[in-house]
Amino acid sequence: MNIIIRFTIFTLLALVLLPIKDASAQATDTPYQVGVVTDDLAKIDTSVVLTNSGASSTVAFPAQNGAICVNAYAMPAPGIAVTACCTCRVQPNGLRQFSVGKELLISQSSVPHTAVVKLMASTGTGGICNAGTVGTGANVLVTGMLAWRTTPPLSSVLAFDKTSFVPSTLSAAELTALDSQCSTIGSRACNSTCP
Amino acid sequence: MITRFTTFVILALVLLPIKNALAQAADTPWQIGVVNEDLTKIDTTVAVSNSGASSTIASPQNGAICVNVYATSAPLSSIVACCTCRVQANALRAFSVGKEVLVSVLPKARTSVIKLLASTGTAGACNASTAGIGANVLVTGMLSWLVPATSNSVAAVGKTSLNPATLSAAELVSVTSQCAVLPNRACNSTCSGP
Repeated sequence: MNIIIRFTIFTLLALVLLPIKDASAQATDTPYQVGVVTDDLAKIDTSVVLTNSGASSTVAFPAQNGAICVNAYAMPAPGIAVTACCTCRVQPNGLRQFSVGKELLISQSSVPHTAVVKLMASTGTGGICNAGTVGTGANVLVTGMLAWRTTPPLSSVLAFDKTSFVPSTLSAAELTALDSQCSTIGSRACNSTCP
Repeated sequence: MITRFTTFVILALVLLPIKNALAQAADTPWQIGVVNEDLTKIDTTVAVSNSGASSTIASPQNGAICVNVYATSAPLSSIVACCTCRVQANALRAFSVGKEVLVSVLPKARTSVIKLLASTGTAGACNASTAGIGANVLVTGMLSWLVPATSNSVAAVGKTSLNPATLSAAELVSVTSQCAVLPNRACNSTCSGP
C-alpha cells in the first residue's frame, strides 16, 4: 500500500513537472549567450542587437518592470582574454544595438579581425548596470535576453545578415573569469542608448 | 525494493524520449524577433506556418492556430500595433511588417521588436487582445521567420527564425492590454480565413 502511494505521488509529480521543465528548456532568452565574429572587423563591422522578452517582469502596470542589464565581453582572437566589456540596459520590448568594432572594442589599439563575444543578462544593482559584478550580490543573473549579431549589407538593397547568439552553459569559473577581467578593465555603457 | 527500482527505471525510460522530443521543438507559443533594417527603405515579411502540433484529428485535420502579432516602434518599448493571423495546420501565411502590421503607425517605424503569441482563438475567431484569456488559450504549433525584402530580384533573401522565449504573466498582461486599446484586426486578407 505504501509503495503504491509513493509510486502514485512520484508519477503525478513527474507528469506535473515535466511540461514546465520542457517549456523553459525550449526558450532561448537565457542569461548566458555566446557568439563569434568571423568577418574581418577591420573591414566589416558587426552590431549586437538586443531585446528583452519580458520574462523577468512581475508587474505589468502602471509601468512594466523587468528591465535587464546585458553585459558584453569581447575576446579578440587569437587571444582568449577579455580585452573589452560594456553593459546595456534594456527595458521589456526595448530594442538596443551597439557596434562590436566601433563601440565594444573602441579602446583597442588596433581593431581586431575576429572576436568571441559573450553576453550575460543580470538585474543590475539599484538600477545600475555593471559588467564587472554580474552574479555577485544583488546583480543576479536573469532570463529575458534575446540577442543577434548583424552584419551590414554590402549593398543598400540587401538586408542585414542576422544570427542569433547561442544559449550556453555558464560555469562558476567562467562567471568569475569574466567578472574579474572586466573589473580590471572597467565597466562602461556600450553606447549612449545604453545608460 | 526491486519492484520500486523497476518501476522507477520503466518510468524514466518512458518519460525520457518525450522530454527530449519536446526540448528540441521550436514551435512554442511565444516567439520574438527584431527588425533592425530601416523599414522605410527595406520592408520585412513575417512568414508563419503551423506544425500541426495542436491537431487531434487527422482527417479533416483540425488544430488551426491564431498567430497574434505585437509590434513596437523603436526606440519606444510600448506596443504600437497588433494584429492576428489564422493559420491552418501545414498552411503558410505571410504579412508585411512595414506595410501591414505597422501600416497605421505614424511617424513611420524604422526598427521594431516583433512578438508573436500563438493561441486557439475563441470559437474560431482570433483576437490578439484576449490571447491567454478564457477559451483563447496558448498553444504550440507556431513556426515563424522574418524575411527581409530586397529590390534585387536575383539575390536570395536571408531568413531568420523568431526566437522561442519565456513568457511571464506580467508580459502577457502587458501586451494584451496594450493591444486591447488598438483595433482588433487581421494582419491581411489571407489571415482572416477559416
